[in-house]
Amino acid sequence: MAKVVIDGVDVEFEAGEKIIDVASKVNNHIPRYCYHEGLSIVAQCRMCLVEVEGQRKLVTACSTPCTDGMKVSTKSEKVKKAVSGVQEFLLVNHPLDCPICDQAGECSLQEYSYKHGQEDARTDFFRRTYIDVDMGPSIKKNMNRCIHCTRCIRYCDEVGQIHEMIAQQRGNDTEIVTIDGNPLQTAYAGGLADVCPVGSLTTKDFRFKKRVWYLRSKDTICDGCSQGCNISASFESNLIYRLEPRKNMDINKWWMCDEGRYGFHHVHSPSRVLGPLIKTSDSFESRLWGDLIPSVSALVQQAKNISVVVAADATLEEVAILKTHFSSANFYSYSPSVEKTSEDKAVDHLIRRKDKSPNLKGLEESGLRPFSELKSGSDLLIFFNAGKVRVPYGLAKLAKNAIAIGVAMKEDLNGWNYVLPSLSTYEKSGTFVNHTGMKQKFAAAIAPVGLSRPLNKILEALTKSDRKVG
Amino acid sequence: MKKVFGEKFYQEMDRISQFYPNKRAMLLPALHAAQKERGWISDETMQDVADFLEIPKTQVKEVVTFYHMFHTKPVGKVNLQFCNNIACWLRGSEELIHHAEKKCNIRLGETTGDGVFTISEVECLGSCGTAPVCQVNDDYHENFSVEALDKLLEGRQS
Repeated sequence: MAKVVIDGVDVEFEAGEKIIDVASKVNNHIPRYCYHEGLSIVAQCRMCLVEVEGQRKLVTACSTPCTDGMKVSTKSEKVKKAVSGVQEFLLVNHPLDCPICDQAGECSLQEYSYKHGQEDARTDFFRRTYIDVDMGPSIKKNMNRCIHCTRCIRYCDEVGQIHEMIAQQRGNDTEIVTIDGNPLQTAYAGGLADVCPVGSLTTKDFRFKKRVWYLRSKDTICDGCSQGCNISASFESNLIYRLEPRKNMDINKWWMCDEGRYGFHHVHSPSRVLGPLIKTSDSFESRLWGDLIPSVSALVQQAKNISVVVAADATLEEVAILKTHFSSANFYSYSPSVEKTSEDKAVDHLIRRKDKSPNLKGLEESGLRPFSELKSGSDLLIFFNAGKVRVPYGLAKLAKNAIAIGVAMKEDLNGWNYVLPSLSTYEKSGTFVNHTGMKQKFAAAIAPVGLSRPLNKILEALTKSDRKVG
Repeated sequence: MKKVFGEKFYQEMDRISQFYPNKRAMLLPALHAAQKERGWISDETMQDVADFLEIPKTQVKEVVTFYHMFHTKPVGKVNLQFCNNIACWLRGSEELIHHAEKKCNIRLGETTGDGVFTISEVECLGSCGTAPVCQVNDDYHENFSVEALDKLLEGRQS
């Protein structure tokens, strides 16, 4: 196989691979602003300059393909000088407002300034200033911090496939704007905050919520639709602050949609039911688990004819637990947007799907019948969900008694006898099957919120003599 | 396609299309022709050009705002375009601009109320040997001076 020597290290490469990617195979990170794996190459930030033996001028590592035997130096004096010069120019207009910038802590400009920049500023020019601008419901723009890498423009063109961002004017006056100042149309606008290497484009949802260095993040799977995008959830003190996409070339590549990105707010919603509830004559009352379990247990034991409706945001493991526990019951799957997976389809060119539940395929494979086959009149109806699929209105009326286990909102309680809080996707581990049949395991990001308990603990308590929910 | 420009525009585009590999590459000449016909390039004109070349309007707008020779606002009958790059600047272009501003009672980039004069600053006109240079509409006024400027302003005003 063809080899290239980068800083004295032999690296194998495939034809057409660029120096910047080949170098990262051996953990040699070449600084970059305009280059992004998922976007086209423009080589305009000049940050990735490297020296190639036998070439008089420095070349950009992002646009130069490797050739066999090529000798590349990324740390020579010539390269260091050029890169630090580029860095200095980028800071001529930058406001250096890191203390109030949301990107601080995960900012390429900060990182490379530290690594490649100069100790002090030699310029004291007037810095161009703009006011912050709204770019639709998702994104806020701070033009002062922009370094004109044009990743956002290419992101809109190539990922969102709507030509709506432009760089107008030129040179020092360059300004990134949406065409005619319109709000962004793309359903992937949140990704602009991910691709922006500086703090210019930030999501309104996360803006000013948390300094990023306090956040920890765990890998999980988006439960917003049947695509099953790989994401990570950032959290602190058991509160989720944001979701970000993780690279998975088989599913979502580098991206995720806005619907998924902001689709975690039900977890910490003030209207989420966080303790067990029992229906009284005119309203609902909170009870401790121990007080409630005997009556729930009695209700379950008396019922001759049980229907279990499993929302399609339940994991495979939970379906198995329910099936073992209610072995004589009839099981139905429920997704709010489609009846069966055969109705599921892509709704755009990229990743969004019609089925707005993550595991309908898995439920079908577990042998659950479609929701339309559910008949009214059973003694007891048990509904289980994880919050992404909401408790359906009027479902409780289809049976004499009804128990909702899962993540319920206070406004959805009408008709249920008992509401037993369980976990949302981010609080539990399990397996989802996406629309292509790919099984994806994920682990819990945060601990259970409030008095919510895992499904297996709740069901175990129903049969245990001490009635304790572990 | 509906014809939104004059016949001349389409004739010109037909003539030059053989020199360009694709329609997108004809953006600059198309903008020139459109500006010649309409005097300036409005948002609608950008859309018309984009439709004609079958490219997104965003690309047209980027090019229009990039080049100073495209006017995004209506300009006066006499458009004084002062070069203010290094050679002209060293030879006193700044002074000429201030003089014109005072004389016409407008600021750089503005047009007089009667729509006769516009003063603008442009990038290098490539005539450094005869600096300072002012391009009045399509004509170069080389070795420009305050006297020549006065003459020009008075001559046109009457």
